Amino acid sequence: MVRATSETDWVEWVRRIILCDTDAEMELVRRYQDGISIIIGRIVNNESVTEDLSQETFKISLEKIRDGDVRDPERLSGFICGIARNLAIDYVRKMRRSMNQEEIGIAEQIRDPQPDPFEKLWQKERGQLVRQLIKDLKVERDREVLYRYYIVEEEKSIICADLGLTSQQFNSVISRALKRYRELYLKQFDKF
Amino acid sequence: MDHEQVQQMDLIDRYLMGRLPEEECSRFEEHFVDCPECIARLQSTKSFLRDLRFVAAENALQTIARPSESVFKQFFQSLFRRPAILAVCSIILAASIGTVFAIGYNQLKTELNEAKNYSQQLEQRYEEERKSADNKIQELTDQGKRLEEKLKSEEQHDKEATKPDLMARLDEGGAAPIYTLMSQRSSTQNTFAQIPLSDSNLIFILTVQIESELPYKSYNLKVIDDQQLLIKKQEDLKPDSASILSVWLRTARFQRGNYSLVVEGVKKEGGIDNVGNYPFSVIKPR
Repeated sequence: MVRATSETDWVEWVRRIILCDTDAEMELVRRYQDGISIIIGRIVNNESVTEDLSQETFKISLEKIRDGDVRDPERLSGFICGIARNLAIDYVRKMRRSMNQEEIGIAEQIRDPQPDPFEKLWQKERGQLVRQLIKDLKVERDREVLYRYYIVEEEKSIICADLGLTSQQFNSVISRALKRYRELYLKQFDKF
Repeated sequence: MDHEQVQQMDLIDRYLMGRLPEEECSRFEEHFVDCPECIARLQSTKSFLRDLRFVAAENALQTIARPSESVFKQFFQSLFRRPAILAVCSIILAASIGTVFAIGYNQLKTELNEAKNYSQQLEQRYEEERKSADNKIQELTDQGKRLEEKLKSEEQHDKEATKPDLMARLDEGGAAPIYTLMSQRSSTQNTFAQIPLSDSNLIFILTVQIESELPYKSYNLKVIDDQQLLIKKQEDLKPDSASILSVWLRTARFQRGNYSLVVEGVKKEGGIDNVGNYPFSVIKPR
């Protein structure tokens, strides 16, 4: 397994990809696929499109690495992030253009964007976890912090000033809520 | 960038809520894309945000639909515990009921206004995010054009290159099984090609042979399921020297069942022809 932690390792890893080492290529995909999904998902907000664009990202990245486009192997992470971001933005731009021109036949619109019954059921179950978490919060102020920060999206400094909290106390409320959510979620569903 | 900075600057929350400036966003992405710890926190926070907002939206809708009962209940219960007072307070009761209804109405109105405000905030946020996305697109337009030009020249280079393409390399490395499909027209029996898949292979490759004399400038490949839903589409493909078109697919996208690979030819003068239909059936271990 490739673990590039020093300059030599980065160079060696890129060299192996250029030489079409399958292990090195598969490690690239395994190592970056979760992060790339997050980057693309935040822009396109569609799970199926995120998966397609992630595949495309790795296809293009491997081709460019073999073509010698990576001048600085240590910047490989930034290189792949850039490709992912460009593909996602390009997709959004294409969708806006097609929606403006009312082209109904585009392939991405064939799938129904509404959640299917299984997704709705799963969403409802996840909602129950959050209700349980809120119920477990003994202090009303903690509920208010979560509501104002994550739902109303007020600035942290304003919430702290209103409720008389320090930054550490605020972080502690958020951290406890997230920790409790993770416990309930993993107990119910095993993994994210 | 280290994790202390990530924590102190609330980078994870600000990134997920779209509050990071672009440069900071890029730096954070370059850090977390290769950081399992940050990825785990991003995934759990993103999931928490999504579910919390879903519950808040549900609560807002339920509050509008359901009037408050607690005031009525408490008032009647206190009267029945003191039967002597019940007779004397009958006139006051009628007036109190009227007052409670008025209070209930005002409460409903307040809650409705809160729900409307929340809805307006969501709309405002959507508008801000839309504007922010427009700005990003504007800034990256030139970069996108340069990338397209480079991709075109790379495609041209690939045609002339002597080294094998990605599909052949994967085949040599033994990482992805390759299956050749037959057209429904050319098959002597009307059956589906059997494609055994295993989850140990991340991807598999489908290839079809087309007639070398066909007058198309390029080809589109579409994979659809038995409900005619699109699984994958790849455009602007050129056959290799052996007149073979190929597409690689993720094993996880396919369940047991029937599928079809549709090949379309793009005419030089514009327009698309259906060149062939290649049905196949996926078999997976139970």
